Amino acid sequence: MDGILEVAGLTKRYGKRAAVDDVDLAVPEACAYGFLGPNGAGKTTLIRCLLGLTRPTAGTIRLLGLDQPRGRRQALARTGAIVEEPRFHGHLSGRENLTTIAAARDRDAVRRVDDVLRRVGLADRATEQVKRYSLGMRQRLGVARALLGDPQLLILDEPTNGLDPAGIHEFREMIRGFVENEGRTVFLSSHLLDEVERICDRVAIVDRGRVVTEGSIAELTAQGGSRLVIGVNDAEQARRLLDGHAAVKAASIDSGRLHLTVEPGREAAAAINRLLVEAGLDVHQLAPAQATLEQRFLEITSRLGEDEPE
Amino acid sequence: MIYAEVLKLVRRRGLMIGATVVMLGSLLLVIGIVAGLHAHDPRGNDAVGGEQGYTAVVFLLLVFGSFASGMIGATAGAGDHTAGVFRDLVATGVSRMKLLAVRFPGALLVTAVLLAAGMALAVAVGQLNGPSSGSIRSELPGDVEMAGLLIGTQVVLACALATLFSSRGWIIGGLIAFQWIIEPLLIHATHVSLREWLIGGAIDQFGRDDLRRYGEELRFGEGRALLTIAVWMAVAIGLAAWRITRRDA
Repeated sequence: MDGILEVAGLTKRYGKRAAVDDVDLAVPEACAYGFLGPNGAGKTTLIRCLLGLTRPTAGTIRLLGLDQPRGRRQALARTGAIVEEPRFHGHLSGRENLTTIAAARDRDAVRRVDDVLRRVGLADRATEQVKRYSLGMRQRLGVARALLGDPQLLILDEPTNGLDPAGIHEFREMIRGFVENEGRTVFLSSHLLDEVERICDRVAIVDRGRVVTEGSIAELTAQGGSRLVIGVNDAEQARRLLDGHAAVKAASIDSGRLHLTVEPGREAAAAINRLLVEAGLDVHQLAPAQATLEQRFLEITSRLGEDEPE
Repeated sequence: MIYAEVLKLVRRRGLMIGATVVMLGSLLLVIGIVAGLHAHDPRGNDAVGGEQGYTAVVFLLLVFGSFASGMIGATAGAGDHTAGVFRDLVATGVSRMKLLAVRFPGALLVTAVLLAAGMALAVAVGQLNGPSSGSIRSELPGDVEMAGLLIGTQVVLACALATLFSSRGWIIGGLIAFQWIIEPLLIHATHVSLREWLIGGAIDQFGRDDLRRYGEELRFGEGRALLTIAVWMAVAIGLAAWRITRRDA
């Protein structure tokens, strides 16, 4: 393993249920790393283990090259985090809330309070009580809190929850800026595929506590076979015809067109075309399609669903 | 970090108003009533001031101050947990023991300001006309020590127990119930050797006769009393430390 965040065999059990099950991860430095999974997949539990909020049942964690929990103080001093929805003392102002957290860090963190408030666009509202903040403002304040320690590593758990579209766009730009301009590493957990695809360089897909696959976005979308879009006069009949065909892994109809996941290679496309034409169907489009992370994610998680015992 | 703890407490407007009303407002109310009665019937009612007035105000300060200090201590102990920010403090890497340790001086500082105001009020009342059987100047150091001990232990107990249970309301109510119902019953009903282990009785040993709740029925040495107080503090803080280091943040 070689990365700013390394996890080996990490397991967290609650009774018999494994919320995190034998997870191995290595997050490289200066990248945005997506930790993608459906709700309840174990994303937050893994983050809570990383930050020492809960004790793992088994496994090892290294943060910034330091073994945990031994090097916890040093590692977390250069790590910023948002865990679940950001919570604050509602009776304190935004600035006061940051001051109380900065006091637990160091004097530099206290000096950074105004700077990070400016950075997330809350300087004008800094003296207002947090109980009057909208959810979006609290999210921004959560980011500001995470930046107090000038972190090398940012661990963000569902950070765009509650942000409006403009806020999400701004947030994306900010995260990319952290990585590209400042060389920070961002570990971002999310169930929002589009968000991860736009922000992250690498992704691990997690389901039921296990990392199912890991790699760059291009690597992940290239896995799992080629895709074809077929324009045909009767898409439903075409799908029935192809149901059970050896080369076809999955078929769906979208906007009147047939979307297929097929075995890689030209032979599959040619065989499918031949079959449709010989059945008397008019094929007016047959084109390869770029798979999205969403398709790959649904493929993986739905396949896992099939394995689940009744 | 202690400043941060003080900030969290003093910015709670409801808590500060509540504690001030309980600790100082109640004194002013009683002083006002006594002054009114004296004005209405000077022969039948003593004047509010003098050494006796001072002692009465200190006694009330001990009673109401213990309520207010319970409120402040419990808020300091449970505040981060109920606001949901404990996990963010843990995620800074600072040790959980340190997060616990700073709660006590924070709460003690805030309570000390109210206590100082209460003692100042008592001394001011003592300067007014009224019956006297002693000298305020000679009694003041001992009374400050007694008040500090009672209020301080109450703050520490409330803070530790609120950390243990992550609850404010139950701890405030529980402490009041223990102090004013359970402990007096135990002191009347249990064997002498057991009574010496009750914290209220132990603190009582440091007060002069006019300020004692249990009077002559419960007298033992100050060394023994200090041991009882130390055991209570150690157990409460120990349980809070055990809980805060083991709980999921």
